[in-house]
Order: sequence, then structure tokens, then C-alpha cells
Amino acid sequence: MIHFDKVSFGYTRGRDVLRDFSMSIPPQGRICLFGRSGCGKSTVLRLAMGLEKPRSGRITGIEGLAISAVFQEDRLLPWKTVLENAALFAQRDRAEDILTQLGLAEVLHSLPAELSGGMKRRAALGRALSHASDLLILDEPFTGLDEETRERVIALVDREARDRMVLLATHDLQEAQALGAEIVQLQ
Amino acid sequence: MKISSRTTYTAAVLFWLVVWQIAATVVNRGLLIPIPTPVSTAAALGQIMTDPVSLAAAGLSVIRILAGFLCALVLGTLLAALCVRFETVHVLTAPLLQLIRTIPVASFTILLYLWVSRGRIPSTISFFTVLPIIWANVESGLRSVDRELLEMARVFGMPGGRILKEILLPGIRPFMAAAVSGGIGFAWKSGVAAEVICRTQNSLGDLLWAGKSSVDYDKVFAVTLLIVLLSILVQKGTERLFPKGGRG
Repeated sequence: MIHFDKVSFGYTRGRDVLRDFSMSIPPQGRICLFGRSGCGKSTVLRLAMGLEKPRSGRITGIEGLAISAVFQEDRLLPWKTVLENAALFAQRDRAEDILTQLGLAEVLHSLPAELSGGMKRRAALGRALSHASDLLILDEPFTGLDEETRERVIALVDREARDRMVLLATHDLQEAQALGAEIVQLQ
Repeated sequence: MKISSRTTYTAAVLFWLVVWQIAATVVNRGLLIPIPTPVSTAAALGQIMTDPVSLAAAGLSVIRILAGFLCALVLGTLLAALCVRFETVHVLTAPLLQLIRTIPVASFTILLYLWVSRGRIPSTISFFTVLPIIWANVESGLRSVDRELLEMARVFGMPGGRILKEILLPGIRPFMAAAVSGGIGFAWKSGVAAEVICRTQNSLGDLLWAGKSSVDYDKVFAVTLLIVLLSILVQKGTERLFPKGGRG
């Protein structure tokens, strides 16, 4: 169980992005952070990843968890192929299987620079899903995917995230509903 | 028909050898000490290549210069890492780096006479010439490594050793390759210059001196040619060890 207990945080002194923010992610729970741009969704994700420390309040339950993430940017290693990127934190067979399910079988041995935006996004998702993590953090993970691919990818995420906690940030409520996530509205 | 760049390069070299031969033949008429021609230089080079003492001297020069270069490679990389990790080290060492860069080889060689034995001066000079090149390039490389990739590795729990292998080393590889490629050339030039200045025994510099003292300019040209050939050979070898790009 992860708890955010009255967490406040700001990137500059005196300007809080989050103030007294609280939420809980139960085991195998799915939370979707919803709100307009700049409301602090990505900041909550960065706090959950341990990349930022709260100015006040406490975050508990994160210590010792294996985390995998899809960031707003794809963050693929440019000198490694799609398969090598996905296999950074997983068995090669497992990574290959996930990438194939994501429709990337034809580009397993391509470099990220050779891929379209949507393919890079799926490769980043493939890396996150391949990793046997306890917590899956997804920041606008389906951006740049066409309607048909998006449905297929959401179904795969739903299947692969069955036994994990999921923290998702999105603009699209339908994505949250498709994943059966509890919605937390950020102001 | 397309002519390869290697063919045109070889043709250009041959053109200048012909120009050299003709010019030397014309100028040498009436000169007491004739200037070397390509043919006489090649003959002198043949003599050096069959003389075990001269070959040993060339080999020792290569070892000395490579020793200085390798020490600079290791220490330069280490200093660069420290400068990136600790800003205070960067601030404190910046004047030193600037100083080492600007001191001429001749001044450095004379200064080293005070503290270093004559036999070690060429490798020390090569070391100090290459150190700032490696240091500055690797530091730039480390600073240019994508912070977002490092964050990604941290979130996924990648251990430090793997971060070094998977992200940092591939990230700095182009910078390292440029430093090694440029550095080895400077190591050669400065190392041989130091051998000449301090008359290092059993060295290419010593062979140059011997040619000059005995007014054997064919030998001076031949030794110079040997230095150039060895420099190209060593440069090609190091470029193979530190390739510029390709898949990781």
C-alpha cells in the first residue's frame, strides 16, 4: 500500500505545485491522476518514482518496490535496438514477447531513431511492461497512438498490470475507465 | 567511371614525390651537401629498417610515447569524472588545466630536467600534452550525457556499474574517440620533440640527432619518414580500439 500523506511540493521556493495532497494506492490498485496540463500530475509521478522529495508531508510504502515507468518522453537508449532497450530490465524472451504483442515484431532490431513517434511510445511501454515490477507508473502512455493501436495496447497493459499497482496520468478519461482505474482529480 | 578517394590520394602522393625528385635533382647541381631525394631517403630508410639498434630505438620510442599517452588517458578520464561529480574540483583544477595547455613543449622539457630523469622526460611530456585533451573531451562528454536517461535508469533500479556500462560509456564514446584520435598525434609530436631536445638515448630523437651530427640528411629524412609512418600506424590502432560510433 502506498500513501501520500498531506504532501506539498514546489520546484521553486514559495510556489507549490502540490499542497497537502493525499492519496493511497492499495495492493494491485489502479489510480488515474486526471486534470488539466500543469496541475501537477507529472509531479505526483516524479514523487512516486523517488525523483523528488516532498517539501512537507510523507510518502510511505514506496521503499523496496521495483518500479517501471513510461515517462512523458520515451527515454530509449539511442545506441540500443528496440529489443535491447526492452531487455535492459527483463529476460530477452519476455521482452521479445511483449514487444511482439505491441506490434513491434518487425522493428525489434531497429534503433529508436529509425522508428515513428508511435512506435517509440510502444517501445517505451514494452520496456516498462517487460520489467517484473511491483509498481507501474505511466505518464500519458498512449499519446501518439492511433485509435486501433491504442485499444490493443490498453488491453495489453490491463492484462500485464493485473498483479501490480498502477499509477497513471492522462488527459483522457476513457483510458482510465478502460483500465478500470480509480480517478483522482487534481486541481 | 568513379575513382576511389584512396586512388586519388595515392596519385597525389606520387605527384609530390615526382615533384620532390625533380626539384632535388635540379637544386642539387653544384651543392656541396645535396638535399635528399625520395630515392636516397628510401635507401636510408631501408638501412634503418635492417639495423637492429635503430629498430630497437624506434620500438623504445613507441613504448615511451604510448606509456605517457595511456597514463594521460587513465588520469584524464578520472579527473574528468571528478570534475563532473564535484563542482569544487572543476573550479579548482580549471587554472591548472589552462596552464598545462599553454606551456610550450620546449619550456616544459627544460623544466622537467629539474625533477625527472632524462630517460623519462619524453613519456612525461607526452603525458602532459595529452592529459588536457583527454580531460576536457571526457568532461564535455560526461556533461552531455542525457540526464533523462540517467533518471530512467535510477527509477528502474539499474545498479551503478550497469549505468556506467549501458549509459555513461556509450554516451561519452564519440568524445573519447575524438580525444584519443587527436591526442595520439600530439603525443607523438611532443614525445619526439622532447627526445630531440633532451637527447634521449636509444630513441627516434637520438637517431635524428645522429643524422644531423654526421651531416647525413638522407638519414634525417628517413627517420622523419619513419616517425610519420609509425604515427599513422599507432593512430589507426588506437582508432580501432576507440571507434567513433556504431551500435552499442
